[in-house]
Amino acid sequence: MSGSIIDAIIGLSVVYKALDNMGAFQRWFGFQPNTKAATVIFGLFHGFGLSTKILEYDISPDGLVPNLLAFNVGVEIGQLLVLGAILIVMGFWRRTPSFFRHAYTANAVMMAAGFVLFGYQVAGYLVA
Amino acid sequence: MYNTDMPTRAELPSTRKLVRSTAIAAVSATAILVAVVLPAEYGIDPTGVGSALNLTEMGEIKTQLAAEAEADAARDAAARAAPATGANAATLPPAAVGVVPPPVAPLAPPAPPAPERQSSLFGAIGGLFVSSAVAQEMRQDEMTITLAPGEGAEIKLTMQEGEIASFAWVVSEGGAVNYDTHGDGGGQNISYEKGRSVSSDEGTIQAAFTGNHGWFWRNRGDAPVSLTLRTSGTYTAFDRKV
Repeated sequence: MSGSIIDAIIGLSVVYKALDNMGAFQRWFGFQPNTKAATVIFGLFHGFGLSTKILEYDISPDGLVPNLLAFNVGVEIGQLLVLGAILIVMGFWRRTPSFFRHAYTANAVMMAAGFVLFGYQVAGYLVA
Repeated sequence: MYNTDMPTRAELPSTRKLVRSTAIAAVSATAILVAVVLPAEYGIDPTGVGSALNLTEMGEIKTQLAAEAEADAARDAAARAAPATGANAATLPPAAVGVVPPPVAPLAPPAPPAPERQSSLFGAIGGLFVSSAVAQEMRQDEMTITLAPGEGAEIKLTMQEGEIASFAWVVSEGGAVNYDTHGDGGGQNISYEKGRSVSSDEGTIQAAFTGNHGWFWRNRGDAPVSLTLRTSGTYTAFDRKV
């Protein structure tokens, strides 16, 4: 499957999460979509996105499985480190009185970034 | 894990506000895409903003590199599909490891390219001639190529691990090229040296592994340039690959 299509879906997942954070689904549909289910589904697409990139590197079949496992362990460690730092910063941000107003704006900006990523990938699919 | 408490319905932003925010995000994203992303990534510039910001050239270079990489991959696939012919590594004579060839004579810059493509024809004939030379002997080669603006070329020496070749190349008066002195073979890749807007270089290459080692040049200037390469060493072939 084309990497552009997967990356376009990843762009839409950013838009989805921004709307979710803004409370759009609660307002429009009256319920909060299951965050865990959404994480699994979008996590799968993000994984496909990563795997198409790895395929493009044309890596050696020699020791492929240990290399891939080691790569994934490295990715997880990196994610835990970054998420730990983000969680700390977010915790302080949440305590500020203006949090909800700023968070709404930040999510609108994030949604715009998701649309840019989506358009960029769709254009790439059409150009190629 | 603690998730933020569900806000009450009254605390949620209104549908009107949500739709407005989504519309603003979509419109800004479209503007950014058309003005910045499409020029910088694909060289598509409907508004002219990309050219004003010098982003369109970047997109054109990316598109060109992608097309060349695709052509390169197709060529590799075709080469793999064709049955292997000729000598394989096992039948080659032992490498003259550590033999340092004398430095090649300094080069005068070649004449600027003439309108006809005489120089590359000459180079092709020269390549045919030199490829019949006997392996293991110290040999010398020289080739002059013409690079149109944006064009790239590659010349490779077939070397065994540890072999050393001397080289010198020079670009015609006033010209400059980007270069990558590199090698590949047996699934390995190495880049010895890279440079931008350089008019000449000389020195030696010591093959890090058995394979093809040489130079890739690209003319990023606005006018065609000539480039003359002279090499000497115990390598077994001197070929223009691109």
